[in-house]
Amino acid sequence: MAAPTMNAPASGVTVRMYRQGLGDCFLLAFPAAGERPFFLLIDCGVLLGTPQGSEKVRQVAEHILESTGGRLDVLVATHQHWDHLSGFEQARDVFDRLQIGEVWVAWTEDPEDPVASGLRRQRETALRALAGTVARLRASGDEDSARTAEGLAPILGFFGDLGAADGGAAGGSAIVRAMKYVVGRGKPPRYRTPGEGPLPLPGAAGARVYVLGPPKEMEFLKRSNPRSGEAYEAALAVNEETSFFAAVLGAHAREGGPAMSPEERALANLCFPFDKVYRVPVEAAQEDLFFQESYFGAGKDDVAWRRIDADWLSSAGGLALQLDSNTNNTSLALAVELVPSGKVLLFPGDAQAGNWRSWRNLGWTVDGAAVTIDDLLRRTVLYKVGHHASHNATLREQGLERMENPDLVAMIPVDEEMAHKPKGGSPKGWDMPFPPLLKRLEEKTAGRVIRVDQGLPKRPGKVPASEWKTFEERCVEEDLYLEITVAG
Amino acid sequence: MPAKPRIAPPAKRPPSSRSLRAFAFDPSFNWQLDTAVINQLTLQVPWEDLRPGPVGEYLEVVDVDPASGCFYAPVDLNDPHLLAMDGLDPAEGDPQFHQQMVYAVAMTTIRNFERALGRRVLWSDAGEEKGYEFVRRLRVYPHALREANAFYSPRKKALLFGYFPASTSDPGHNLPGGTVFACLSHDIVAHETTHALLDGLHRRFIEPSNGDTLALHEAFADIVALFQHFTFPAVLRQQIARTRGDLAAQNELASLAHQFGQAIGSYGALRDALGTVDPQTKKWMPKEPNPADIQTADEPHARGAILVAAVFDAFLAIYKSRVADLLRIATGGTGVLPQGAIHPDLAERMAREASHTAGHILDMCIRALDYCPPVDVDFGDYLRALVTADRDLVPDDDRRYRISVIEAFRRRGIYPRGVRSLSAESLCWAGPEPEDLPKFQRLLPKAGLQTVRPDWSLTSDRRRVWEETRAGAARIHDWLAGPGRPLGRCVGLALEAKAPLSIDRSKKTGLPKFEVHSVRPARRIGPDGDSRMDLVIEVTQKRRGYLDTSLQADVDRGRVEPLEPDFWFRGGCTILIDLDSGEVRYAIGKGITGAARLESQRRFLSGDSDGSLAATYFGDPRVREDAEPFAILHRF
Repeated sequence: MAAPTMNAPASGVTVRMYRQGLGDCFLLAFPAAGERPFFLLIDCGVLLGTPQGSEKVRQVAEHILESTGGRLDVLVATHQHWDHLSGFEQARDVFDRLQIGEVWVAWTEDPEDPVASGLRRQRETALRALAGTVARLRASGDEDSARTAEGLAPILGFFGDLGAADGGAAGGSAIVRAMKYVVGRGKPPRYRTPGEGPLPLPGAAGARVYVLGPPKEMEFLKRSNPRSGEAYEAALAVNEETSFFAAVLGAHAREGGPAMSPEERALANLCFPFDKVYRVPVEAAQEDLFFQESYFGAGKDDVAWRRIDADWLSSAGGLALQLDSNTNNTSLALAVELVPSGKVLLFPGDAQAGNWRSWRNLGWTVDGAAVTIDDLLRRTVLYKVGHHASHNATLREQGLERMENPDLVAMIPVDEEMAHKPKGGSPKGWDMPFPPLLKRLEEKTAGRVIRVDQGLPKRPGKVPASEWKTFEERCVEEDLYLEITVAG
Repeated sequence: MPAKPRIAPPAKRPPSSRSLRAFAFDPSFNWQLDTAVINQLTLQVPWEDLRPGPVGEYLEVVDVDPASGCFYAPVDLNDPHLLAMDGLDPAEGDPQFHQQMVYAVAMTTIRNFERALGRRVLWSDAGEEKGYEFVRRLRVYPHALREANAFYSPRKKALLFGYFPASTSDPGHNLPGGTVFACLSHDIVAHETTHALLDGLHRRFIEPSNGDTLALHEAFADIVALFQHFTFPAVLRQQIARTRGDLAAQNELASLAHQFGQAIGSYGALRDALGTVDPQTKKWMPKEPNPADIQTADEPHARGAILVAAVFDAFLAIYKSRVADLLRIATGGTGVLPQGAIHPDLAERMAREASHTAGHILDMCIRALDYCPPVDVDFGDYLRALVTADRDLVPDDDRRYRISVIEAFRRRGIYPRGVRSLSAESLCWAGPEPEDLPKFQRLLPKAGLQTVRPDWSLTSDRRRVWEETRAGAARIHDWLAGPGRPLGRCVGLALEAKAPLSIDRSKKTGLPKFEVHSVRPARRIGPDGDSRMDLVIEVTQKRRGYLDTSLQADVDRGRVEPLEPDFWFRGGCTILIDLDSGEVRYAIGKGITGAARLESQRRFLSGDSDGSLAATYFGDPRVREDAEPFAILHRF
């Protein structure tokens, strides 16, 4: 095996944030007993539609291979979003050449877990239905529908290229394949549950890991802003969401699209509002004088402008957002603790409010002393800002405000230009980073906010030059990555 | 053999109304013992020639369910069986009953409007691409969507109702997994119909130019739905008996869209005007009026709820004063009711008082629409419109309706801008400045106005009315655009050559364009009790608005060619003229050149976005141009 080119500090950790664009890829090097450092990789992906995204990710993967000398001790995949996992599709051959010690994923990826597989099946049905919705909206030929479709497409892009309207049903969608690949590299994969730990990093000196999320409780998991009293529902139980998905899949199947699974067919039947005797099929209605005149426009009046064939599909926007935040909430959230100093590095993935709130219920006993989330937050010196610093992936009062350490540094894997590019439904693009959050981060870190798109920050006027110099000496700026070393 | 001639009886006159059954609230009330008895209602709908659909003069119900990929056959309400049994039995499982109910409830709402306004209602014109054509019928799609939503589509001139299965884990009063239909909720149907009626009167009210416009749309629709309930005596009697006359206690009438609120798992009704259900104790708690609420409520429904609560408070105050004597008579002068149920006769009399009061408040709220500025309306304007309209109908306020309304609004923190005091006199709109009067009289002469007055009563043909108003508006436009255009400033428009260049110019004359939006008659009662007729004229103008003030100045002065604007800034005036005397009674304006108003719209549009995930991905709803402004507003 080749010698690694990335070094670890004598004590502590070096954290490298790759700069492939809007997407996460963090390589951590810890000192280890042997000759080579201990390497931990968290995610590797870039947003769908990033110019030369695939090339950039491949370049990053090659660089990881070289930096680690061909061996990762632990690979962490936080959640099923393209901007976190695309590398495992786009640079699969490179990862194939990498030796991997352990694979850590969230319990929500465990095929044996009934709740997890229910969630996954819901997500897959939802994805296929939403991809089908986009196809239907585009095909309807009307301007409003096309606009709705263009608004949906970028959100679904978080799940990778869904390809045809069947949502890549055959081999699973691209994002499912990426996660499957990662899980398959674990022998066996470790499914992490909240409250676990502190887990030792096998072979690394002076570091251990607390597992914070994703929560086991459905009320925290299911929505980014959960409603009280919501309990776990069977995979395809009848509800407002599934009834919509059933309708899309049913319409598709009727028009010669892919057939529905038996479970989906049963669902679709339960979702009809009226008994069969009342339902007049389209073909029959087209022959009927009343509907010809009032709906299809065979009469003397122009009625086509008042038809509503595609209006019902517009609720997909809200459902896509819900799916997106539900998936963000399945993020494997980790706190890495440096043992002698007690310093903490927080990697929440894209955890949203529910995931953050659930951490309150956790507790650990370490060397006879109780450790709570507030202890960990208080000791946090490096915060990987969740969800590219969007507004709802960093909890305020019970999150950022409790990170009181004066040495706090924030790392944001964001590309503002890419985020602000017009995206279908939104001419101004996405609000990332969210300005009020960015401002607060800058206040809390005294300017030490390291962004993928801007490199190392400039010294704020009120920070003494000598103090800034010590910060800068800890950092490295390259075209391909940004790095900071945290002393143990 | 030739057929024997029949004996022809004298011709029968058509009946005045058609009886149709509907739910008084929504189907969930059927499953609770205490409310099941009052949930059925037979509505008296004005008789009209109906085709299957039902398709009548105002409405056409077309039952398409695109999500299910099917259609439902139209109900024929002229079927002799249905005529003999007041329409179909209320049945959730029969789509034809759904068609009957939306028709009956929407027609009831339409009739309430016509009665209050004293003229037939028109829907707003078809959109630009349809050449602003006359739209005779509002379309009703009872099963258009498969989601918890219902909305009025201004583009399609249609009401779209949704349905969805109730949550299996937390269904409230609904059957788990059972279907909840928006079109079976009396409130939702009345609410959406009201949106369409309001749009027919004021089509600029759907533009969010300040925080109040959309909220007013919502609040007004809620007010109509709420007070429509109070006009059904049977329901009212039962409620009064139950609450022992205290209508402020929790009761179903005051909570809107009950079933939808239950079905999506949030406890209690969705938009409760009077109080909320405590999430911890699940007990209903009254909401104390707090004048500060209006400062912090931004979301249209939350803001609207404050206005609804204010109107409801006014209703309660009037009702209490009207039943005070009854209570004294019934209690031997103490006014304190003994324990136990109240006497049915007393409940009956109190119900009549409540129904009277509700009817008056409903009329007042609807009539106020004729007294609103045509653009950029806010709650304060609406209060002034309410007070002025009521003074015009009931010159003597011996029942103290106006005082009650003003007091209720004050307690909720709703004040009009720029009035000297909160007395009824100073809240009433004023006429033009005395020195402007000669200009009005010259440009809008009494004799001329008589000729543009549409023949518009409760029996007129609606298409002819529409054509006459159009012709009338064109003539008034010509008068105002006549030589010198002296009237601009008096009605808040900029009509001269020196007007800001951000206002579009006519290609023919090179002078600023403007529109005459509406010409309609409004009935009122004169000071000596005689019935008088006013003509309501609305004139409007639009101007390019820019968030960048220096760009605004450059475009206004013609230093740069007008670029695509960040927003449209509108100005205009509602003018009420007495048709007999030619006297201009009110000129209710929003100036097109007003710098303060322009700045406040700019601030409103560029304020902090709400920071929701939807705003992250889909952009800020205030500047986004939505084809369906109500579709998102109503999604629960």
